[in-house]
Amino acid sequence: MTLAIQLKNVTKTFRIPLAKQDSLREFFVNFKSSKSFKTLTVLKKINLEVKAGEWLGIIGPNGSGKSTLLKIIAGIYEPNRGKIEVSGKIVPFLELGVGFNPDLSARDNIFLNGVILGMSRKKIFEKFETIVKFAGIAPFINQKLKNFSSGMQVRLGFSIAFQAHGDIYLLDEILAVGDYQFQQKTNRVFKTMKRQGKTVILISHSLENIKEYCDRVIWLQNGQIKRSGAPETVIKQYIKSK
Amino acid sequence: MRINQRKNNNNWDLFYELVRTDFVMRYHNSALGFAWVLLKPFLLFLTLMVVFSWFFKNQDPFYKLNLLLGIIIYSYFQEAVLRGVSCLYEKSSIILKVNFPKVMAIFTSVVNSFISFFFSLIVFFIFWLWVRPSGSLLYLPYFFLHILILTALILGINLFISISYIRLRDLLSVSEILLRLIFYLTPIIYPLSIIPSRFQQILLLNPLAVVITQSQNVLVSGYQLSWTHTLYAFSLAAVFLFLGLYWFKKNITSVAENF
Repeated sequence: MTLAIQLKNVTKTFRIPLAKQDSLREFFVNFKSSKSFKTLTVLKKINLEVKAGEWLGIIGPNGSGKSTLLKIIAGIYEPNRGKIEVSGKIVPFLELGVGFNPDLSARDNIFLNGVILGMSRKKIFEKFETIVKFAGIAPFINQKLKNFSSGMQVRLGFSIAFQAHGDIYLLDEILAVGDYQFQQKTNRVFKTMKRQGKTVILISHSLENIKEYCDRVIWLQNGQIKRSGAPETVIKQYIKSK
Repeated sequence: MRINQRKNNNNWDLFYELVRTDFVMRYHNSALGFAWVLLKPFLLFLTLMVVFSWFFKNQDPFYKLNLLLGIIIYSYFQEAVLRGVSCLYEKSSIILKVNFPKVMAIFTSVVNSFISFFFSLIVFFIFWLWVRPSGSLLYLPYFFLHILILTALILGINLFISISYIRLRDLLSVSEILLRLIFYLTPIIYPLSIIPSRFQQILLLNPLAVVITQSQNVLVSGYQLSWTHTLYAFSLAAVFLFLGLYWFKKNITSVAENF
């Protein structure tokens, strides 16, 4: 059994400025009062191991630290304390179409978003047709992205991210994107990913989706793991607690 | 602490796409497009030339060419630093969602200014061939050495300023004022020779003044290069670059929390 992700005692605190001081005047005015921020502990000593090929669901109320946990695994935030070990290439699906520029054509945006997700230009050239076909935007490929509907933009973002082959996928509420037909396509994609033994961590408020895909679920509450175990059991307890 | 064996190794491709996007976005919806790159420094040159060449043409036989070279080098510095201030902040939406090598944003800010600089230089050399000043093109390597020093200096400044701007939004206004001040403290519209010699040395503490006067010396006026000044500017640029890298490294891990 190999571990894809290992978190040991991971703690994350944020400094929330009471009045955000981002100008020089405020900086000097607030200088005298020693404490112009309060600290908010978003994650408290999280210990988590994710096996390679495991699908882990994260549930919990808003503000319980789900997205912060995912961002720490993705390397966007640095934990204040604790240790993270990741083995494998991470593809973050925290938002679809990161870096999309509305004034560039869909073609240019595919390259821009692809390299941001860690693909090489060569790889994007190879996968270009697949991406365009999957997103279903072939007739509009040279149009500026701002003329796309939001659904089409999300579809394009998904198609690129899916081609950025990695070992670990981090999905934040992006299971159900696009129209019905696109969702059928993404469902097939997720099934393939599962067959290929990809490791996936997914956050979702749709407990149905979690039950359908995940091998294990953790329930976050106030920055701590309250329950961890089989999806049915944890979800049942989670629903009862409300 | 964070351990990950697999890192993305597409930095060059990322760099290419970021530079390309920056370049395209700058001239989209603009009628003259890339022509502005050349027009901006030359309109400034024409204005200053009409006004000041009356005063200084007796002091410096190649006043116009020196003025042009000074403006081109200063414009490179000004543009690169102003873009550097906001280059990380502009990428905030990406930084908050993907972990990518953020130092690329700093390089991008300098490269696009360098491209404009490069095209302005071509026009300068056309003028050069026309005027045929005393300087020699044999000294081109010395000139490029000074441009390299200037670029290192800009990188150092941008590494420092881009990450500080996220916490302190005044830095844009401060930079604009300082850049204006530097313009007048650098011998661009006036030749260095009109300054009393003991003040000349004070003016040459400004590394930009060193780069500009040395470039003018070798390419236009045909004077000797002062290696002491070159060495001084080089050391200063190295210190800036080193401190910039240190400051950037120290603060970049927490940058996503400060937007």
